Amino acid sequence: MLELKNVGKVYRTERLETQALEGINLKVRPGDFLAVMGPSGSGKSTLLHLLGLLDQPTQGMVELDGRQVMDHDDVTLSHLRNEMLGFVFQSFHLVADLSVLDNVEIPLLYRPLSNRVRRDLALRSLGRVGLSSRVHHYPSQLSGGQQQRVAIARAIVGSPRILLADEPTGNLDSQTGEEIIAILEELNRKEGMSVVMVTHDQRFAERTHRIIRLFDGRQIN
Amino acid sequence: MIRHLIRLTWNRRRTYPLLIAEITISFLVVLVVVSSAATFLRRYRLPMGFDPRNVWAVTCDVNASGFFDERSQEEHERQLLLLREVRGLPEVAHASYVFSAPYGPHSSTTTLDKEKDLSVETNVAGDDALATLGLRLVEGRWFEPGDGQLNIEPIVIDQRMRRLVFRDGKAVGEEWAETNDERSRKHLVIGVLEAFRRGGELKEPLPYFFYRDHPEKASSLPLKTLVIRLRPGTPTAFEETLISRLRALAPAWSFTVEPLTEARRRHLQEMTTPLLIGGLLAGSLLLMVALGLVGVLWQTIIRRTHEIGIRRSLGATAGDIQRQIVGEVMVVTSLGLALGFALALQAPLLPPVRALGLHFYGLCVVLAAAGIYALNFLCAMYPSRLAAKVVPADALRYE
Amino acid sequence: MLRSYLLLAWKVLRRRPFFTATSLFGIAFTLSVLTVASALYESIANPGEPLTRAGRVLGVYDVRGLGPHMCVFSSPGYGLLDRCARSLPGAEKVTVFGKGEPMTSFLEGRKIVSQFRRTDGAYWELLQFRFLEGAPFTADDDSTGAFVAVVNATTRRRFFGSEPATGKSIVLGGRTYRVVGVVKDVPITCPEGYADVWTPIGTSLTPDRQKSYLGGYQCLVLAHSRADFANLRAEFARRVAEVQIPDQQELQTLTAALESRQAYVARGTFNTEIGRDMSARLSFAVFFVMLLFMTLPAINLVNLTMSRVLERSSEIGIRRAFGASARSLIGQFLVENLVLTGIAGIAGLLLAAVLLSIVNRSGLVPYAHFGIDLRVFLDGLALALFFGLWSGVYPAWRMSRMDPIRALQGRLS
Repeated sequence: MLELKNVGKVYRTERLETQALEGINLKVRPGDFLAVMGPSGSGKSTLLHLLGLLDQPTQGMVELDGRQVMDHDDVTLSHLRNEMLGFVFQSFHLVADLSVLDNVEIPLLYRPLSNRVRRDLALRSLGRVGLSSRVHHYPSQLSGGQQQRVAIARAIVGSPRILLADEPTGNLDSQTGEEIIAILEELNRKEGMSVVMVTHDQRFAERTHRIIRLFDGRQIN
Repeated sequence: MIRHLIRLTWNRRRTYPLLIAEITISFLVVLVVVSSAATFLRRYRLPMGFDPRNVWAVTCDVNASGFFDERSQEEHERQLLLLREVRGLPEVAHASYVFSAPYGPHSSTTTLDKEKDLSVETNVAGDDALATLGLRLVEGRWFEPGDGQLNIEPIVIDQRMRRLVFRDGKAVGEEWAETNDERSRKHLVIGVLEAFRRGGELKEPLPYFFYRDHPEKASSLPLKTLVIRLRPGTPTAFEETLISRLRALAPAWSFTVEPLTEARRRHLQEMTTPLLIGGLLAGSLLLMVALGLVGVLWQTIIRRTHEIGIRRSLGATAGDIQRQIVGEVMVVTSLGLALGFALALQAPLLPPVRALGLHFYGLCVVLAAAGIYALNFLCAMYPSRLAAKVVPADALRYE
Repeated sequence: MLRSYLLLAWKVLRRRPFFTATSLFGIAFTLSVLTVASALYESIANPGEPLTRAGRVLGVYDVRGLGPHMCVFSSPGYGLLDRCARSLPGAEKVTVFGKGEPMTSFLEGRKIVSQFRRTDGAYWELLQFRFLEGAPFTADDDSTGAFVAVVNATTRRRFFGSEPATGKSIVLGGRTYRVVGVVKDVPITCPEGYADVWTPIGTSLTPDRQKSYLGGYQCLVLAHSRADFANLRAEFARRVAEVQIPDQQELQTLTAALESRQAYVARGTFNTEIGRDMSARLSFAVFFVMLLFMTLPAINLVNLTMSRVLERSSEIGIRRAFGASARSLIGQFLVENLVLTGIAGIAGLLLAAVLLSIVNRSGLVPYAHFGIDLRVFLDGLALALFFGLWSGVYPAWRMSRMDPIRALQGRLS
């Protein structure tokens, strides 16, 4: 469904040229659960951004359902992100000035839906991560684990086909991290959602179907 | 989306109290300018009731005499002599004495209704003033030579006074009592004029009436202004001839001539200059506020790169982001305007605003608010474009 | 320490041209408007030449006459001033003079309208005109009714071009006067001294005029010192109260007072009755309006400074983490704002000078020569500093309460 073909990414600044990724071949199929591992600076986040259609490769191709992604304009890409993809970040990235419910509604704002439908979808999504009782709280009133669950609710509220998680447990203790991984596993198993997760934690990586290891921008398995 | 923006801005209201205060003050400044300009425009479009073209006002002064000094019988006769002389000149179509000239500095008023604090401006004019000033009668007649024999003082009123005193009833042929302190004098209304806005196009129109200048008796108020309607095409050089003819008859007097069109130009300049200066000041203040707003928004966007990145990753298009920033500015503007409305609502208690009329004032409020919205919309355009250009991957990488 | 503050401030301001320009524009504009306003106010309140001794001068500007069915408000008449003010005991000098009127002349088909004023001889002693040529007319010229005139520089140019005028004849309103002196133009902001042509009152007075109580004249009284003001006022008021108005049945009582110039201006502004001194209230009102006018630019400046603080919150966090005290940071911000205000203050004064010269040239105010004198300049500078401090205090206070850790994360609201 989502495929990287011989993808490379070079960052150019005035003086420096950094090869962030090189020769990456990767296929994300429906129902996949992938882990991306590697030391910091190995290109994990860049890979995730490419998969998330947030960035364009400098070499190779990104294909979604067999179609070249680079052909799309910004509006189409945004709609694709909105409908096909969900994001979870290491530091949660919730909007501090919005309540939990409003945060979860954000992806739905960019779809032609009525307020009532939006609200219902957001509440259902919060129910799926077990936070129904906290919908009117603000992010600062929640623990780290709860915040990350809000972030997951926000990522899945639009029923994406692929969930991209950038070190979702990185800022959490292992107990809470465990809970988050359990949620991701459940989403993958029960709803067939593809999950691509960047992680440092070998234990969590081993629970996935496949591990992609990166070193200096190259795939090493 | 709108609800989302309102909630977001409301939750962030503590971030921009100063911005809101600025918007409120700008709104009030614009409101003052708009309502002054609109008042002037409205006054300018009302009928004047006279025609200033080809009319000259000649001030005949007995050497620096006091304004309220009585004139001797000799001076009174000399005045009549001057009028006869002027009427005899071939360039002159009509001529008449008046107490206060159009656009001139002197006026006199009398009380119409003491309790309601209503005043009416009065003037004194001769039988030929109708033709000289090009007044427009809508009812009845103007003064005639025979009016000196009436045993009641005839007056000609304007439509404003007619509405105030007689409402919808008959006015011509009715009596009206002028009450000043203890004394009351009866007058007979013989005619109604369309209007007579002596103060000029931009002055507030007052109810008006004319007394007759009775040439057969020396008036207790000397009429110092001779208004003259010239035949079209009379050259301006005629002024020198006119003054020398007058001087030959009254060597000790001084004469000053001003064409009414010139007086009109002076009046418009005097009235619009303060408005122009006020407008320029307000414009500069607004420019300052606009620049400040752009600056603050710019900062906001730099600080919120992250939030923008997240929204982009969750599927917001560049256009969505731009609309969001503009929308937020509009919501903040609305908060400031709400405060401004609350203050503007107090204004109808002030006399100048009461004079405007509530409908009219309301229109000014709406116009001023629209102006502020438009200005802030323009100010939000550039920063919102910057926000839309934020590259999501960069925004998220920057942690 | 201060040097490093200043250097840093300069660098910071240069690094943010947009903010610096916006703040500069705001302050410079506000200051220039305030400076222009205070220059105009000064020129009316303390006009300088020829009214150089304004501090010791009182005047009679208006009279109110009250009758059974009439209330007249006008300038005083010659008779009233002659009787009640002319010989006030304890006054150093008293002058009675006409309010002025336009007078038409025709010169080779050209129409010239001159502002024409009749004065007595003492006028030239009490007011100190600068004579470009010749000399003033005297009390004798006034009493004999000599047809002589003093003209201003503009009138000399209009009638005689670049030639000297003394001894030549000038025709005004059909009468011929001999020019005895030429003075510098006096702006209309000094209404007592403003005119194009001055001639003796004696050229026009008829016996009737001498009895006139209302209209056309004004007077100024120069006291030996301000301590005499109270006595002079009381004596004048006593004399006015005693006046009998024989041939004016319409009016029964007259009210007039010796007023200072400031009191006269204030009375005109607030529209109060003659003799009430509202000058303190006027000063307060002027100050209040100025403060109000400064609010918007000040808020703007605070806003921009706040953004600057927030933008640099991580820098502030680092500085605090490395031991900078809150006070030294506040100092840095105040210095930055003062540098900004200082530059803007200078720009504002230059702008004010340009604006004033535009007003001078526009002809809106006859013979205006508004300028920024030292006093107005200092007013402006004081305002600028006040402004800089005011707009720096709030952001500095916010900054001092900033939590270093949160500041480091750049997460400040």
